[in-house]
Amino acid sequence: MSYRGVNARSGIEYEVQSMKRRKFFASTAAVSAVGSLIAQQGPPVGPGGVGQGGARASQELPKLETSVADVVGEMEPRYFNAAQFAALSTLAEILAPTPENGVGAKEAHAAAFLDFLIGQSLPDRQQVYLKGLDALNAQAKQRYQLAFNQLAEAQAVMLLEPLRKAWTYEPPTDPLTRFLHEAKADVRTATQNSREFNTLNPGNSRRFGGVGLYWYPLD
Amino acid sequence: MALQEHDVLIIGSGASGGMAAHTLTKLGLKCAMVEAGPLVDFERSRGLKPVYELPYRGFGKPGRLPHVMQANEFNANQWVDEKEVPYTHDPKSPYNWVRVRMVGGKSLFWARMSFRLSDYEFKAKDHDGFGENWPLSYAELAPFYDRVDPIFRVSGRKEGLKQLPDGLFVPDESPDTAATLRVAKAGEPFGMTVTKIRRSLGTGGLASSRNLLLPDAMATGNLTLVPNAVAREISVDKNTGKVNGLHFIERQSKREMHIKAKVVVVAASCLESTRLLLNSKIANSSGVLGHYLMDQSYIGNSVVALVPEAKNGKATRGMVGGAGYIPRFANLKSGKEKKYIRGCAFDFSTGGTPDAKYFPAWGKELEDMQMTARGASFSATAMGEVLPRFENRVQIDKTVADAYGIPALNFECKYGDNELDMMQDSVATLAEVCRKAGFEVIHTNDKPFPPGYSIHELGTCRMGSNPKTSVLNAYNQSHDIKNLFVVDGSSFVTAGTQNPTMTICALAMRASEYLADQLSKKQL
Repeated sequence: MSYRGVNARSGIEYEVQSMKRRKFFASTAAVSAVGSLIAQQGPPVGPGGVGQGGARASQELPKLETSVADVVGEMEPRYFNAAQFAALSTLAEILAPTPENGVGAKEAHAAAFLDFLIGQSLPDRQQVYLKGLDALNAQAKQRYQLAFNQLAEAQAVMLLEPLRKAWTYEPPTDPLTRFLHEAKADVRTATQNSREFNTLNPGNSRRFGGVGLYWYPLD
Repeated sequence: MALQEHDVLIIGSGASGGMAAHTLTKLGLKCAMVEAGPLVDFERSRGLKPVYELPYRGFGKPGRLPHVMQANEFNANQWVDEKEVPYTHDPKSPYNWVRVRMVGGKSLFWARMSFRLSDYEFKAKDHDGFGENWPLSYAELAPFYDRVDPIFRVSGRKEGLKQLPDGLFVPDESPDTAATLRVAKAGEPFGMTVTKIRRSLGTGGLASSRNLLLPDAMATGNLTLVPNAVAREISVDKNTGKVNGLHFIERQSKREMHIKAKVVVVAASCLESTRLLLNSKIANSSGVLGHYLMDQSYIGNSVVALVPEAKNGKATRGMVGGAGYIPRFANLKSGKEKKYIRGCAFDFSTGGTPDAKYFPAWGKELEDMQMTARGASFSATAMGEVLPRFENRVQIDKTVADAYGIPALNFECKYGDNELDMMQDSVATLAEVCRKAGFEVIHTNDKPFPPGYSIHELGTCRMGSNPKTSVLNAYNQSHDIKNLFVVDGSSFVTAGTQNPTMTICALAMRASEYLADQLSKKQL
């Protein structure tokens, strides 16, 4: 079975090769989980070894179920200031609203995730967001004397009119237009690649929050 | 016990190194091959993961691979780490150097697009007066293409086009979709033809040096493969002036090592090969080593359109789907029909769904627009020929070294007016063709991605008849040092629009047979 990689065409292009996915998954999981523990603790003592419970101890380590942090905790935004984060949260919910019985930016905590992502990003990208969010709040104040997150939705969408301009490969020079186009893509990805979205849409492809072929760091 | 001196040392294990090993070992020569990266066990190195379990939700770690537009959080570890092996350029003139260090090299990941060059490329100067001809013709290389095609199992349909010579294809008899036929018909007045994609089928879905070339070479018993060996400098016998081996670094321990050989074949990928020669300070009496850097200027999604009849889920079988290829269609007569020279090719696919960014909407409206367009898209990648120009070059940056202490490359490369005019005209032409075909064009872009994006870097160690203007002769042999060969894409004189792997393999096979012949005659 052949497996097409994520950038299947458009210049670079690769198709990764055959392997039955189930077998693949099972084998790599076994290596990563069991192998790492053995490396820390040394090999299990064989039958008759001191302090062991007979043959059972030498067979395999019991499997332990684990969870990821998002299951037990919420992200704590730390990068944007309060006004910027409030604007981003509102904007995200407009760009990716919650569909009926579905997951939107709100349920996916897209704004909090982007606070983390942009906080880790290179300065150029950070400036796009910082300038864009400030411009959004400034325009809201200028037109309605309110912060962006305080606007009625009908007012807020008036400020998103730059998104009616066609997307161009070369970034727009206007900071708000550039930010809105980037935020539109980022909010969508942060939403569709979230655990929440995937849980509700288990049949989706990798592009929309599904499963993909991951390359581990090479030795 | 004394170490064996190999007949041939091959540096690099990708398509060119693999073909050299495949050819030389079958001719009975004892070869050693060094590869900078590991031999990857796919079962151990890859695994399925949900995107939401990745630390950055699929966005990738910010700033990790700033030059690799192809990278994502799933595949980030397959590319060379830019901090481990850095390179430099003027921030205003970026170059995207995309690299893989594993046994098999980039042939593990290529799109398997398998085309031949024609005399429009080999004899380009004869056609339009610019640059240099190659020191060989299509007729001279054709017999080698004929032997490469069956190894890679190239699928295709014979078209009889002068600018895209047919190969020995595994016949592709699949019918063209209606959308493809509409493009073909609308393109006729512009000189366009539409062909099937020509693609290496390989075996088991893989068409790589790793599975098609190296196993046969190993089976001869004449190949010693050494992964994790990073080439530092080719060594030279001071008495004879000939190369006699390689200083290399064992990647994991960083031990400094040396290997001896009678002949050295450099196949480290275009720019790593040139970097190695420059760092070795050899093979450059011409002064052109590092110069004439080319690739193909790419624009992904240069034209995005919708097939109206297929919208709203109304696509029927045979209406859309699959891919096609539009070979170069400009300047095929006098060579100077346009205000630019050379030309651009496209590949395209139909039947997908355009990305959300192409719709001027958001929220529910955007979702509805995308749903309407689902399965109805046409999108094309433009691939333009980049001219060989002296000023586009790489050189050693003495201020920066990689993790192994090897001096890094510095890039000076820009597309010129010819490339920009070509892309502008070609994209506009295809957009017009799409409209004449009845498609709704929703996006065009005629601004090329940064140089290097195509991962088809070529030139910088070019071949030629004149030792004063070229580094290699027609057999990929150094003009300066007879027992030194460079068999990868660095030897190209012109770039063409075609994906270069088949040509690289044909040249490597031809050079290797010449090498073996010369070695047997004690001419090296």
